[in-house]
Amino acid sequence: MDILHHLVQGFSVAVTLNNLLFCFLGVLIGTLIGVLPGIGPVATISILLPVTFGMDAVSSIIMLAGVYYGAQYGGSTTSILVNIPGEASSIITCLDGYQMARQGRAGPALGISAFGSFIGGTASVIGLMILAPLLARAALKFGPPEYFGLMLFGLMMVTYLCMGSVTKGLIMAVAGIALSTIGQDQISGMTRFTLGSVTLMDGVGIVPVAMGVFGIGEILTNIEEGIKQEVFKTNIKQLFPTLKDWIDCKWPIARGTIIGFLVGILPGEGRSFPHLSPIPWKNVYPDIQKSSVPA
Amino acid sequence: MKCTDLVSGLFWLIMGLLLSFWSLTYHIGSFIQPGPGFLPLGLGLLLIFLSCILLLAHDKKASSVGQKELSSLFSGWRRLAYTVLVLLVTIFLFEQIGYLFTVFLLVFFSMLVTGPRSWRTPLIVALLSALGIYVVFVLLLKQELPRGPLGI
Repeated sequence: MDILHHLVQGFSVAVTLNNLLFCFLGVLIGTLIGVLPGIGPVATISILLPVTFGMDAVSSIIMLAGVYYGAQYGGSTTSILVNIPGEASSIITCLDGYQMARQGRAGPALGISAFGSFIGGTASVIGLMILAPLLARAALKFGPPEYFGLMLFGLMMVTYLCMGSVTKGLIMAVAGIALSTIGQDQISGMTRFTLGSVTLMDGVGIVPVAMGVFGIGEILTNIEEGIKQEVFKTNIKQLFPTLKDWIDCKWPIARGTIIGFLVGILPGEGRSFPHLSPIPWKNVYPDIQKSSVPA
Repeated sequence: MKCTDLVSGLFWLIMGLLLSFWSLTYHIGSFIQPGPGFLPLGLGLLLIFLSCILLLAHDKKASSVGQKELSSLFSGWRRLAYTVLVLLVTIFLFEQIGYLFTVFLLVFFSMLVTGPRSWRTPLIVALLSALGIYVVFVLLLKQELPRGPLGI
C-alpha cells in the first residue's frame, strides 16, 4: 500500500488551488507556443524555463509538466487543422486528423485527440507507477537483437501502411534511411555526405524532415492548385466527440494506450516510434491514436 | 499508372545512382566489418532496383492519358518556382539582415503569390507577424533571434 500512500501525498500537494492554477497556465502557454510548427515540447520547455524562475520548486515542476502536455497537444492542433505536424510525435495525427478536418469534423478530431492522449497518458502514468520496477528489469534485457527486430518490424510496417503502390512505399523507406546516413557513421565515426558542412555532421533531424515532407509539401501543393484556404472555411464547432465517435474510438484508444506504454517503456527507443507502432492494429476510420510515452 | 510514375521513377533512379557512386568514395568494407560506405551503397543499389521496378511497371501500362498527366504536373510551376525561390532567399537572408526583417519579407512576398490581391493585405499581415514575433519572443520571452545590422 506504499503506492497508494505516496499517491495520496502527491495529490494533496498537486490539488491545491495555487498549483492547479500554475498547471492551467502552463498548459495554456504550452499550447500557444506548441502550436507553432517545428517547436516541440522540449523546445517549448526551454523557451518557457525562465518563466518559472520566480516560483518554488513544486509549482514550477507542475507548471513545466503542464507546458509539456500543452506543447504536445499544440502539435496535434496544427496537424489536424493544416496538416503540419508540430513535432515528431504528432505526425500520425496528420493522417486521420487532417482528413477529418477536411470533412468538416475538425472539432471532434481535436477533441478526441485530446481525450485520447489524456486517457493514454493517465493510464500510462498509473501503469508506470505500479509496474515500473518490474518492467525496468525486463526492459533492460532488451538487447541489440531485440532492437534489431523492432526496427525491422517498423520498416516492414511501411509496406503495410502505404496504400497504393508498395514499390513507392519501399522507395520512400529507402530514401528515408538514405537521408539518415548523412552525418557521422555510427560504426566508424567517419562523416558521410556532409559536403564539409558542420551542421550536417549532426545528421538530419526528424523535425526538419517532417516539416519538409508535411509542411512545405502541403504549402507547395496548395500553391500549385491555387490557394483555396479550405482550412478556415470549416467552423470548429462541437469539440466534444459524439457517442458514436466514442464507440468507434474505444478500442483504438485502448490499443494505443497499451502498445504505447509497452513500447515507450523501452529505454532509448526514441519518441516517435511508439506513436507509429499501434498503426497496424488500427481500424479504417476516425481513430486518432495518441499513445503517451512514459520513457 | 500515370506518367508521373515515369518522372518519379527516373528521379529516384538518378538519386540511387548518385548515392551509389558517392558512397563508393568512402571505404566499403565487408559484411562482417562494414565501412562508412557500406549502408549507403546498399541503399543506393536498392533504390536503383526499386526505381527500375517502378519504371518497368509503368512501361507495361503506358496509357494515352499519360501526356495529359505530365502537363498537369507542371501546371502551377510558375508559382511553385517563385515560392521555392522565396524560401531559398530567406535562408540566406536570415544572418544578413536579421530575423524580423526576413520574416517580414518572407510573409510579404509569399502572400503576394497567393492570388490577385492588392499589396495592402500582405503588407499588413507581414507587419503584424513580424511585430507579433518581436513582442512574444524578444520582449516577453527574451529569446535571442539572429540580429541584422540595425540591431533588431
